[in-house]
Amino acid sequence: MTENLQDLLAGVRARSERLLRAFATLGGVILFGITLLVSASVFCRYALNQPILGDKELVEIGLSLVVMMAMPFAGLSGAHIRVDMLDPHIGPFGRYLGDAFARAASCVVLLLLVRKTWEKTLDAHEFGDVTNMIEIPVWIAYGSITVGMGLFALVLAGQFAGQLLQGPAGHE
Amino acid sequence: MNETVVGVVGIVALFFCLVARLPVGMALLIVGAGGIWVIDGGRAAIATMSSETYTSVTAYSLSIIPLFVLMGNMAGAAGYSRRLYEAANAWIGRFRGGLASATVLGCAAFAAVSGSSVATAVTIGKVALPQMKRFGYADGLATGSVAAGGTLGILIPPSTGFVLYAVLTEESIGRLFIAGILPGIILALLFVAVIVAVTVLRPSEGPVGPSVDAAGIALATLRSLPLVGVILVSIGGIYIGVFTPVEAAGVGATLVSALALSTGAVRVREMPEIFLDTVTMTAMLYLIVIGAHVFGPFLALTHIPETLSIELKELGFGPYGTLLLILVAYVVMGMFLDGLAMLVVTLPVVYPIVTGAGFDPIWFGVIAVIVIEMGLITPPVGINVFVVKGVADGVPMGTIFRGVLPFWFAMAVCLAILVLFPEVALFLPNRMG
Repeated sequence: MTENLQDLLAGVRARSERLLRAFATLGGVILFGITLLVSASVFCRYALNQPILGDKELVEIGLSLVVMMAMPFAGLSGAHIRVDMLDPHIGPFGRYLGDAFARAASCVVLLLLVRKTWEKTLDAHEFGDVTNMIEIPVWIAYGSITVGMGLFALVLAGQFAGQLLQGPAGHE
Repeated sequence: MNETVVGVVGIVALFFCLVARLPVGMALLIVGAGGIWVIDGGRAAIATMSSETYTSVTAYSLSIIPLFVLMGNMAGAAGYSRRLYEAANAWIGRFRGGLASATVLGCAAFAAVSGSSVATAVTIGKVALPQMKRFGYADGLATGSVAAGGTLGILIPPSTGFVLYAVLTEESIGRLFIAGILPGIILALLFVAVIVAVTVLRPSEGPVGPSVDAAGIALATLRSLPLVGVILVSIGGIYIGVFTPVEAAGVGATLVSALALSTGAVRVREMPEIFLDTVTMTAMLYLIVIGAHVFGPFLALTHIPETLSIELKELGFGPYGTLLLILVAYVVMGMFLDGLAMLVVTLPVVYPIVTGAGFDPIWFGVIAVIVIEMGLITPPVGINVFVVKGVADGVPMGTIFRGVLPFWFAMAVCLAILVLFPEVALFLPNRMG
């Protein structure tokens, strides 16, 4: 592989990492908001005898944002739990093939999921589906899955392409 | 193709995917969706994936995962693990083997804010190992006490193991949390008994530690009180019925954050890194939950759990024989598989068998988590041992594995106590408010 191509890939990877890190951190900020909301809800219930209307719905929709904003970064940083018991025994080429299979198969399944949740997002938007108590649009949760899993699929596709370009030599 | 055959092929495919380095959650998702595709067609498979993902990420009860992870990460970053260890150390460090016992008690206390064994082992290990080295503790005892003590992280509530068990079996998270308290305390005491026994037999392995005067003990205790207060509020709140588990997690995380920020133990500029760690772990756990939610319906379609249950009954082992078989299988699998992975892969099959044999599902949750703990320190994969190796520079892996061996037997004793006296786990949840 030429040095220019290597530089280009390294640059793309660095930029993607910064972007996805920021995206995930924003998810963390939303999570902190959820934490405060849950506490405030308990306080209002006991101290003011006035529960916060729709607090659970806010938590549910917020949670979908938190999880899906972090999903691509978790994929990029290799945080997802893997079973590596046979890694030393399958050798570098075995690991190369395993990773290629894992990334390609995951990518295909995620794209199928994303296509379906995209349809659900559009349906929920078109029919105005909302939550029961405070009528939060449901498409937000479907949309977050579409974006989060879509970005996760992109991360995997990028890793797969990078792996093919790099070849088995030096693959960890 | 017969549905049971599809199921068997699916299980084999799952193990192939795991060996092929697929993330556990993704392997469950792919095999689950693939299996449903074969049995019920592509439309059903994709619809299941979509609906189960939506259900998982919007489940209110599951918000307990990120909230408790945030609480543990915040407490770790604030250095509260050090305070808990120092308090335990002030009380018992001056006795023979006392520093190792303080390590175990520090782990037990930190486990009450952290749901992760790895986090518990790392945070306490960083504080306790240099101290034990300074006082001439044998490497095996020092590292063994940290690796084993760290496993208490998933037994003493809050626990990611219990949350996953509850998600997969639809049992009450609150009851599972409370069920883990007494076994957690008993296991911590058994670990201390191991340390006493080792230092009685080989006194040079655990010399006496520093003596702390009454003022020092009072100060160390006082410094640990705020976190102890948070533990009592959040876990105690679940027990007496003031909070739901989610509310306890939210209040606990808020209190720890307020404490850490107001005292300057954590600065605002450190928050993004804490958030990032928290949501990354959350995403990792959620991928497993999503995968398990797709794999579960696939296994149900294959009827494998019922078939296995019937076959096991016909073998005539009886309930305890069946339980013993399952426990042996878990211990063996724990040597090779990550504990949480083992739980999500096996529970759809094992849970119906266990409940069908008449065992209490809450009690079995505690049993399953203790077996996972054993796997955390069993070679060749024991993850806590690798984590401790990372903290204890220069100690050979073999020494650490030898060091944890007596603690592994303590876990087996705890398991035996729970099998003989199920009330140990069920006493508290049966009296919840």
